[in-house]
Amino acid sequence: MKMEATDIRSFAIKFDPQTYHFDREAGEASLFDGLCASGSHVAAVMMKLVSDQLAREKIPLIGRGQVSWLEWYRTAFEGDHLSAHMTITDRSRSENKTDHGLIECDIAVHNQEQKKVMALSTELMIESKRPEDD
Amino acid sequence: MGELYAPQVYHTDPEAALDTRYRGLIASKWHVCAIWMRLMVNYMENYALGVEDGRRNGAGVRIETWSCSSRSSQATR
Repeated sequence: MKMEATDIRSFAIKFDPQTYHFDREAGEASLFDGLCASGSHVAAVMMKLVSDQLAREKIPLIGRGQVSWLEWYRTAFEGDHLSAHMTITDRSRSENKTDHGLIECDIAVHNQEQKKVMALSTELMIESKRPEDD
Repeated sequence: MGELYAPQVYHTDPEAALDTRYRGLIASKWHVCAIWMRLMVNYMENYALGVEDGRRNGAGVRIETWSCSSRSSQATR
């Protein structure tokens, strides 16, 4: 997903109104040396990328789990292309519910230079088949 | 926020959300994260130096676990 300046600005004005997130000149004068996206914006873009991929694979995401950790490594600037890569590290069926399971996954967001921008480890609640269907 | 970044029905459609396990529209956890950032910025603007020119920023923040859903009827100040 391309990080458009207009999206960076509108997200920042609402949720992270620090000048380097909404004013290009201020961004260029800051430590970041450019208009850069809020880390929360990068997290939201990650969710969009993951949601779209799960939808393409017809995997119903029905809820959240814990986010055990999340870290930002690099700044995302206007014009960057972000992509997300998800690795499923474990899965389990809910103990008291039969309609869903949890997958544990590591998700990494990279820019167009394949540099890591953000990564997290989280659980996702996925609709599952009934046990008798296994 | 749901329509742009977390397009599950329980984040986008108040009617359809009634038929989900949440029984109503809920905020994406990333929406909650964004609001947390806004509250942080509000705080920093009042009590910290260097916010405007980028000498102070959120780099290096580490987040540990969300615990519950935020319903659309709840107020987050």
